[in-house]
Amino acid sequence: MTNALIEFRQVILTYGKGERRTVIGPLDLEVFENEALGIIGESGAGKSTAALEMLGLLALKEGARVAGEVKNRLAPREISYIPQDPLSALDPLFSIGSQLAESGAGKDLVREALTRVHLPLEKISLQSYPHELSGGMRQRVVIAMALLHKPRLIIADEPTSSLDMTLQAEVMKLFRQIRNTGVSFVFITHNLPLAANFCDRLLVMKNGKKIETGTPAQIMENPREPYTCQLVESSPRLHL
Amino acid sequence: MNPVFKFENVSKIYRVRSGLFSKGAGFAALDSINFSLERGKTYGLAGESGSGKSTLAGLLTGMTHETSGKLLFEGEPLRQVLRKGRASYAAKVQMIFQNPYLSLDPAWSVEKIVGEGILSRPSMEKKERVRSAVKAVGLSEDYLRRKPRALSGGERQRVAIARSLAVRPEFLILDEPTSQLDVSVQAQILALLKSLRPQIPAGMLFISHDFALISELADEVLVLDKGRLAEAGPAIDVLRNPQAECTRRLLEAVPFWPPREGKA
Repeated sequence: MTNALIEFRQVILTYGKGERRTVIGPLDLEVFENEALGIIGESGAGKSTAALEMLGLLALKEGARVAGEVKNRLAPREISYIPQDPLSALDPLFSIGSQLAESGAGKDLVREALTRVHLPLEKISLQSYPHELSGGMRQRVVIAMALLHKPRLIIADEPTSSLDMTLQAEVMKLFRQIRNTGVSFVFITHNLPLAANFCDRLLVMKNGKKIETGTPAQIMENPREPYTCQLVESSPRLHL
Repeated sequence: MNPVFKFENVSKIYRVRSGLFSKGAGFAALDSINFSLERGKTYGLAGESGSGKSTLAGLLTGMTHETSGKLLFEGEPLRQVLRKGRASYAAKVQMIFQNPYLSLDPAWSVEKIVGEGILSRPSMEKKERVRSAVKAVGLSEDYLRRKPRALSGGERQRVAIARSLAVRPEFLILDEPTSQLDVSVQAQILALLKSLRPQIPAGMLFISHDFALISELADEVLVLDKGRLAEAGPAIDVLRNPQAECTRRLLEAVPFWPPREGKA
């Protein structure tokens, strides 16, 4: 298929001097136009590193070397990133307004992005500082930042793991609304049921390699690989 | 028989100062809680961030005290019990914390960490207890000499659990013990906790915002909402037929497969 926004072909990523440690690969993956791809895996699987490479940030990391082919059809502005912890993502010393304007977005874009995350200017003052907002509001401000330049792809790296259950549900609802406007997602998480509910396709990773990929139904109900089975089985579920 | 813990109209109010000399307004982290934790049961304490879950755990461990009302431990006011001796109380009630990366001293060996709660015991007995506690959490003896930095998150949490077990506590408080861990490690720790239940005679209090985890372990469920006890009852009843708005919110938020109707 050729309409991939991002394509990895036999990508191998190594770190370090002398004896190099392989963090990823060889890895093949593609992120298609208008899809939500879930990348599932446990710590050290290489999920976040893969995200850094999609953002083109690995080149900045000391000692990282990438082999293979990475095709990225998106301009830098068309990709946004949502980090895990909304508190450390915002600078405590600057007001929300100045942080939103940091990327050069004008007033109209800021207002529009805030409306999309249900924080119209009547509800939030641009003069307020991060510590004055609740956890849920902070995360919505971070999401608004990601929406500023109308991205075609949003990479969300464990965006809900520092939130409680109800806030997590709120953020997922917001993501669904954004997804419905045609924005693609790369959704990175270790929470399989959460990703299955949101994504169109899941990719299971372990030790830098792809274990398997499939629709949420395939992965949740008919996993082919033993590792995926183990992940499905260890996911906590409600016993009713 | 007296319940292990009894809350009689317990409130915990924090003073929030607005200025240097103002007395400040009160913020009720816990608001008139009435409840008993009966012997031998596993309780799940649920609630959103800021609902007072950790404040409640803080009261039970004696790290903070109630502002008003009465908190009884085995029929006796907890403050009085603590005044008689914190060590003998700690020998009965132990707590396991959320973050195993912070709760272990990085400079100590596993053997020293696990023996921390039984320092006053004769050295032979101490050695014996440390060994059996480490074994009980599924770690081999060569772990005794290791330092926390050589352990994975799951192993660290096992060491933290072993430290509590070495004391042979009667009651165990677990504050989000798996939230920092990977799912497969989380499943192992949950299985471990289930298997340990018979060794903890007075019961456990398992704190989490995730009803899926609570439903794995708890016989009884308590739900806190903004410092008030919103709901309490047998786990089956609360999960199947939630009464409080906040319980419903937390239950609906649990990701489900296959997806619930009308969610997308």
